[in-house]
Amino acid sequence: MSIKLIIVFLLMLMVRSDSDLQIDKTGWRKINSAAAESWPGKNVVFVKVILAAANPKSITPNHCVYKVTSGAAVMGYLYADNAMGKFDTFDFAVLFSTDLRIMSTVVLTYREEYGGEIASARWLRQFTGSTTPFEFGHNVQGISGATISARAMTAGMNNAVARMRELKSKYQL
Amino acid sequence: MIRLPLILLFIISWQIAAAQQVDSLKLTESTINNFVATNEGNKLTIGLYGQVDFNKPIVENRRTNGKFDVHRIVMSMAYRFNSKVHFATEIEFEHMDEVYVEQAFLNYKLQEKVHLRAGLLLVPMGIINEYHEPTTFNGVERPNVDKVIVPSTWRQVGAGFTGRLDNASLKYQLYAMSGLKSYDSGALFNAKNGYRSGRQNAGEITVSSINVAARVDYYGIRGLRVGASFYGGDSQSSRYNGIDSDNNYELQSADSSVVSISIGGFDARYQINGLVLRGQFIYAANSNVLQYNTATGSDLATALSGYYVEAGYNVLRHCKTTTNKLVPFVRYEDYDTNLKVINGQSRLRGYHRNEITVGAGFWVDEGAVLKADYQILNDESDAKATGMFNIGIGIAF
Repeated sequence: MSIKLIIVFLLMLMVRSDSDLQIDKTGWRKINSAAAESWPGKNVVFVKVILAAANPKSITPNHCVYKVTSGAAVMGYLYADNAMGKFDTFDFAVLFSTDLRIMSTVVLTYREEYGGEIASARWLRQFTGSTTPFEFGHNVQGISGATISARAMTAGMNNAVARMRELKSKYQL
Repeated sequence: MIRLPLILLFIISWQIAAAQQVDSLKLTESTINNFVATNEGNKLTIGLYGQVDFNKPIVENRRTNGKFDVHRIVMSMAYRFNSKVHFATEIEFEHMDEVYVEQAFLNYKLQEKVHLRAGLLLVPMGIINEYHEPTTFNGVERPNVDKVIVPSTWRQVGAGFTGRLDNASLKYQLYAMSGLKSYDSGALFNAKNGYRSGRQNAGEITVSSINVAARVDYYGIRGLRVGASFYGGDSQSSRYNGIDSDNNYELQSADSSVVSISIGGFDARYQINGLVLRGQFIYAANSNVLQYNTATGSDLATALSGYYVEAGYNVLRHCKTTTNKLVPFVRYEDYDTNLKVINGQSRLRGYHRNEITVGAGFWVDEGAVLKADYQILNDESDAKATGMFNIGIGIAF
C-alpha cells in the first residue's frame, strides 16, 4: 500500500515538475481584457499546454503556454514569461493569433522601483501585429527612465516569438 | 483498493498525453483564477552607482589647479517582504568625507494604481533629482539648474501616494513632506545659492509646517516623456521651537524667519533614431521675502528660475557590431537666482548665469560610461566667461 502511494506520489511529481510561471488574479484580469479586445465578442477559455514531458530540456524555467479556445475552435495562444529589469524580474504575457501574429501584450506584474512605464498600454502596442525580430532603439522605441526594462521587454518579446514558432513547428501546437 | 490502480492509470495516461502534446489539463477560467502567484521576484537586491571626476577651471591669464574627486558612491539596497511590501534605501558617500542617507522608505502596494509610501523620499522635481545615476545623463556633472535652482539630491521625510495608470500611460506622485529650512540661528536662503543651504539632510529634521510635493509623468507618445512637478509650502524655522504660543511678538518674529515657497517645473525627454533631446524649466516664487530679509539680513529673491535644453546623438547607432553608445552632446543652461527681488533691493547680474556644455559620453556598457566635456560659464555681468574642463567615469549596477 505505502509503496504504491509512493509510486503515485513520484508520478505526480514527474507530471508537475515543470516550474511554470503562475499567473495571479490581477494578471488574469489583464489577460482577459486584452483577449476581449483581441477577439471581440468571443467568450474565450484558456487551456494550459503541458510541455514538461515532451522535451524538458527545451523548457525555459518560467514560461507557460495556453491555447486560447472558443468552443471547439482554437483562436490563438497565450504565452507568459518573465524578464529581468535592473534589480528584479517582471512578468508579461503575449496573445498570439493562430498564425503567430502578436495580438496584444500585457505586463502582468512589475516589481522594482523604476521602469514600470513599460506597462503602458500604448508603449506595448508597438509590438502588436508584428512578428519581425524586435530591435531596441530601431523598431522598438525606448522610454526615458525605463531603458533597462524596455530593453529587457524587447528581448523577452523576441524570445516569446521564437519559442512559439518552435512549439508550433515541432509539436503542431 | 480498486481506486489506486485507477489513479495510476489516470496519471500514466496523463504523462503519455503530455508527451504527445495533447491538451491534458482542461481548465476553465474560474479554476485558473484560483491559482496563487508563486513567482515573487527577488527578495533582496543590492546596487551601486557612482562617479569619479576630474575638474579643471580654465581662466584666462591665470593658473588654476585641477581637482580629482570621488564625487559620490551610492549603495542602494531593497528588500521585498512580500509581493505588496518593500523597503528601499540609498546610502551615499560624497567626496569621501560626507555620508548621507538619500532614500529610505517603506512602500505598500495596494494595487498598481495606488502605492502607499512613507519615509525619506526624493522630492519629485525635474529630471535629475529622481534619475541621478551618472549613466542616465550627459555630461560629467549634473546640470547646474538641478543644483542651484533644484537643490539636488533633494530629499525629505514624508508620506503619500504614487502609482501607475497603464491604460493612460501616466505615473503620479503625491506626498506630504517636511520642508526646506530657512532659518537656523541665521538665514539659510540667499540670492546666490537659493535654497541649497536649506536642505535638511534627513537627520533630526526641523518641522514647523508641512509641505506638499506632486508630480505627473506622461509617456503615452512613443519616444516622448513629459513631466510636470509642483512643490509648495512654508519653510521650516528653528525660531518656532519653545516659543510661548500666546506671545505675539515671538510668534511674529518666528513668522518673519519663514518663506512661503512655490516651485513649478516642466520637463521633457524625447528619443528617436539615436537622437536624444531633453529640456527642463523650473520657476520658484517666494513670498514673505521682505519680512524674511529684514529679519534675517539675507538677500533672498522673490523669484528664481532656470532652464536647460540638451541634444545628443548616438553615433554608433548604425554600427551593428557593437551595443556601445558614443553620444556627443551640447547643453545650454540659463538660470537666475535673483530673477525678481523685493522693492529697494538691486538685482545682481552676476547671479544670472548661463552655461554651454559641449562633450561626449562613451557608454562601454549600459551601466558604465566614460565622459568628457568642456563648459563655458558666463553670467549677465561684465565679467569674462570662464571655462571648465571635466572628465570622469560613471557606473551604475
